[in-house]
Amino acid sequence: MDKNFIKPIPSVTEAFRTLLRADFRVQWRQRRSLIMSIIVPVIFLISWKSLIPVIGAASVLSICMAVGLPAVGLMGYSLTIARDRERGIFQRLRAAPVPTWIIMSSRLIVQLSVIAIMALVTIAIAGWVDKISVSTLNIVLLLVASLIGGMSFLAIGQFIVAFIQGSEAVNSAARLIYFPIAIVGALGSIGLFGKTVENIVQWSPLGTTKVLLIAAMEPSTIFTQSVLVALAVTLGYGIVFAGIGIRYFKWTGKQ
Amino acid sequence: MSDILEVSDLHIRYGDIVAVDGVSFSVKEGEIFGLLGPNGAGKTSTLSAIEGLLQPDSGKVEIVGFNIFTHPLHARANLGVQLQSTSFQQDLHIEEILDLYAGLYGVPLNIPEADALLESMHLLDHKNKRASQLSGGQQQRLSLAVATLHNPPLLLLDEPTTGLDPQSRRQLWERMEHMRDSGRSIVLTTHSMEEAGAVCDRVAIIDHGKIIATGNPQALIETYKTDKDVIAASRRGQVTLEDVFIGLTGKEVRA
Repeated sequence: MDKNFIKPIPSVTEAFRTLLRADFRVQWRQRRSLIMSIIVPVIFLISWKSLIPVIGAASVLSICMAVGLPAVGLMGYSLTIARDRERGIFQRLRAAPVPTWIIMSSRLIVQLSVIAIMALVTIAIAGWVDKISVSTLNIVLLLVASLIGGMSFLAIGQFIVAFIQGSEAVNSAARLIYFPIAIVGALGSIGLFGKTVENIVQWSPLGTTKVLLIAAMEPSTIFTQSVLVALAVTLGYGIVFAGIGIRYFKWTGKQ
Repeated sequence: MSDILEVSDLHIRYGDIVAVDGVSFSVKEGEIFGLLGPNGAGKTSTLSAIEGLLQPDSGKVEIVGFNIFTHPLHARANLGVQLQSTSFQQDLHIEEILDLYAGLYGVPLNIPEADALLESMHLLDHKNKRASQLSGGQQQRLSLAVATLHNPPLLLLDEPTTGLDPQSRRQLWERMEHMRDSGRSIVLTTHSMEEAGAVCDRVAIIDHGKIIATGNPQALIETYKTDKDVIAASRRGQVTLEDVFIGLTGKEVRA
């Protein structure tokens, strides 16, 4: 056999770059889902303008940003993964000489970019409509907090697609989980459903993310115990759900 | 001629169901090898194991000397695959799909080269179309274009002519023969005995997870033409490869 016959392994860096470019293209062509994930926090922002004097600008902005994150992680990400799995896209990618971690990493980077865009648009509209002003430091910290919180919801999305195969079933499950998290989480966090619900929400992924986002608006509170605990819990959600979701994820719906 | 593909004592179970039961075969350099079998015989499971997409319970698969399970990237770099079902991101244009897989396989593909490849597959006029806009035959040809992009020593084609009109099918056969004549090897699964007889240098008939016959199509006919089950299956007195297949696997329709 001619030695030139045998193909070498391609560069992982180049493969990753190529895959990222393709995944960003796909996301751009599906920008309706991006718009939908931005609309939710914007609707909350506009409708909650009157609550700013009651609960404060930081709380309003943090809750509005927090409700946008499950839209990306639970619905956007999990549904995309489920549909692509059904179409055999992952099987075709896995048949290529690329490590499987770059296939999922590329998807996650795209989703984190969506989260960053959603955060920036929400901050911009908060400034324009609700006159909530933020410094450059606030913006950077809000972005970081959004990404950390967003990763916990992406992890929950990964958990969903690990245990639910069909895209229709994933869609239904994601919506069933999203609405309690977002609506009950948002309203419950301000005590609208009583103290018990408020306490439960406080420890939910949305509640802990909200704490991080508020701290981003008030940087002097970042290293307080409550914020550090919220950070640990948020990261814990991400690690646990991602760990289980990755461990039990099936690349094809047929196995 | 050396072995491009070596499959040794492959065993695959899905729970209590034995899908592949000790399958062994090898494919030489410059050979078209057909895997024939009724539905549920174990063809796709065998192919999935060769592609490294399915971990067998035991057995070995080596592609140009690389074990697909211990050296998956090396093995896959030397493998081109055409899966049975459509498996590309539907929102990408044809040329973007080529760009993606060229990057994943480490093939520096410029625009003239990409155009030449599309031209050879009669897809140049459609290069700005999205994958979702292609007909079944066009998607098959795109799938084949991607499979052969990096000029691999071994090509796996899972029912490649399904859905193709006679002209396209005949063109694909000619393309396969051209690849074979240039030293490439092809493993294809097919339900078409006509196809197996027309292009395969050797075929293996697989049923209930076991290979029950292997050989050149004409040699198989010669070997089994006096078998009573084969004679019973024959029509109009002349034994064909299809008669051998039905004689060995039975007339029962498989789900």
